Amino acid sequence: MVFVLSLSLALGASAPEGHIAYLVGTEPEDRRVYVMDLATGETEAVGPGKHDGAPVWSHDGAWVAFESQFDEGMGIALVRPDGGDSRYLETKALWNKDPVWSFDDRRIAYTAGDGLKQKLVVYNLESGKETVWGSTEDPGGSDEILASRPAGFFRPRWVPAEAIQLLLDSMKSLDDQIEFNIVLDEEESEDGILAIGLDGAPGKYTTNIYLVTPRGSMPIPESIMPSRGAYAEWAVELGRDGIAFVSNDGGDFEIFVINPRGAYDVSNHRAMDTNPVWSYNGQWIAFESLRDGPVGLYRVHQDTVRVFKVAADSRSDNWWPRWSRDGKQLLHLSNRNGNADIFITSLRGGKAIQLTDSPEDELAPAWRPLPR
Amino acid sequence: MNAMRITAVFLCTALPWIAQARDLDGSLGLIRSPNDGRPALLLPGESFTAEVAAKAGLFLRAGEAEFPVDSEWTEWPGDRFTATCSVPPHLAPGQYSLVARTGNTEDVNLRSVYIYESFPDTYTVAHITDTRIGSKRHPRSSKAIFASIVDALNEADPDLVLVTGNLTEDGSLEQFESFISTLNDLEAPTFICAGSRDRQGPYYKAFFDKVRYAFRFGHDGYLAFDSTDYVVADGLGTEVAELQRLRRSIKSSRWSIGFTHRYEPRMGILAQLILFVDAPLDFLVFGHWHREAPLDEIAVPWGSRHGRTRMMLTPAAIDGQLRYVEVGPHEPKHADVLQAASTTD
Repeated sequence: MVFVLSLSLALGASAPEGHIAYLVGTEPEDRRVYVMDLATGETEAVGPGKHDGAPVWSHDGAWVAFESQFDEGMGIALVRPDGGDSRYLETKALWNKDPVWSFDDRRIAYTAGDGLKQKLVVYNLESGKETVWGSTEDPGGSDEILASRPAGFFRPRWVPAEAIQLLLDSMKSLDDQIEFNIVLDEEESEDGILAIGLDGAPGKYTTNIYLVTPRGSMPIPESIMPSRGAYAEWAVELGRDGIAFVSNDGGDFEIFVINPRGAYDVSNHRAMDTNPVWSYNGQWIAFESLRDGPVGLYRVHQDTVRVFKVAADSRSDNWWPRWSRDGKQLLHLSNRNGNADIFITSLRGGKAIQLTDSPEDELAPAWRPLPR
Repeated sequence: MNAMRITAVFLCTALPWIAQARDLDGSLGLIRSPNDGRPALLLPGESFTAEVAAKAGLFLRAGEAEFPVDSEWTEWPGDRFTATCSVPPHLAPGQYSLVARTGNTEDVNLRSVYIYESFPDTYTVAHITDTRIGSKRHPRSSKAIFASIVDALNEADPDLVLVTGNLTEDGSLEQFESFISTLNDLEAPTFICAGSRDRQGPYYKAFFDKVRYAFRFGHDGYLAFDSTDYVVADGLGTEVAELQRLRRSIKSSRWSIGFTHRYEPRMGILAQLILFVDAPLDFLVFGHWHREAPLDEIAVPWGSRHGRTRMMLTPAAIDGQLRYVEVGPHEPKHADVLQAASTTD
């Protein structure tokens, strides 16, 4: 199954501790969530192994959520890191994907529905109830249209109330602020969700970044985007003082940042740059790029916009970066030995440690957060 | 394709090797590509890339004449090898088999290299889809229907044939063997992509290797992909990046033409943005529907300032149907669907 190299020997005193969750399986229908203890190399199969999707840790490290086959569709599965207490959320839709935990771990957001017209649903783990967010329907039952709503939502990411306020503060246009306020609660600040919204009419669909709340949804106004115009946006990620996302503004897919200092391209290259991931200190963004041919991993400082190579060569792909808490290492995937395996690469010196070495693909690794 | 004129000679009077076309069951052997589902198209003096399981002597064969190919080898992770093969400039236009020899083993990929004097400015593409070998939906056997379609294609002599998946009824080895034995009666170069039925077992990759690739024919670029790949693997592996790389490789084409078994709205969004928004394919050729369908019913719903991908749908070959498309300086136009084969004995 999974052959784990001896980390203690390979890394000596700097051996990473804690756990990672990841997928094992080359064919999608065989993929199963595993958890590995990095100190010992021991692994535990914790998912049902039925088309399991990328594992996502709760912020307290007590649970792993992932999409997994359920009935004739995909459900949202929860499991403890030791494989205990496994269950599926009781969802109305047959197809559900992309679960993300709220900051207090009491709710899980995911997209529900088949095809392009997916709803954004928030599941309250205490009440066991689903709520559709971003709907234009007035919860009070009136005919009032509360805000615009795209045809579908994808790739949700929670955003705290303070970050929403920062977004509002960055809007120079009072009209933009007023429109944005429509989706916010007038009485108290609340967390929201940033998601990719499917915009336009059929035949002219494109994507934009939306703030989604229980009251409705609103696109990030053009006045704070890098430039005006109809560009396709993807993969929005929240950092400590800004958001990063992918856009084809500029001619091809680039990584852009919006922060209090403005909105700008941080990856600028003719080859595709995608999948930004913020470091915990909010200064660096790791991303994937095709600039050296195959998929490679790079990092860029959000202020200096200097790009550094982390793991890239002309003969293999390196992808799926995940920062260590101290920002000194990246957990990632590479097929440098023939198929997808998990590596940890040190940013100082570039030394790479291979964590898995099986004939099957290992995919979607995620560090377990430190317990609160 | 015109009849070949072979001028250079190296006659193979007696082969000391164990010779076979592909493996005994029809799956790919030593040579992974080019193959008869993804041939190399080139001008004399140009080079092509061969993917081979081990370093080998490479030759082009037409009839009994054989020509050695200069090969520059690269070894890749996972025990893969590629050879950059230079075609001798004196080689006559025509259809060639690629031959690999190592030790006492010989592997032959039929119809895998086509050499042209020049690429035509205007040419004809034949589109067939859903051959469904093994299906019992008609009184006449699926293999016989496909054979009649191949006869019709050879009669019409198109420049390219695109076959957009569901080649087989349920992806069994026997069905793939049957499909490829009939396919190789075709004279024109054929480009295959997989359908959902073909991916029910391991044999599509065994017979045709890659599920996504791009090639150029003269001014135009073609991109094959399996849309269902991006439903299940979106973002976890490197499939989306590979799609972007392939899309860019044909971006400068006069026409960029995608071909797949079906448009799948559940494809990962980044894959759809790459194909239909950032640099929209000019056309998407596909099957699956088994009938003509209103384009607003089946259209790609994306669009951008760069335009919108137009759709070309052909009903199923298992029902005896095919379609020709004329590709030239003006917008490619597809002709009416042809009933090329009877479905009754």
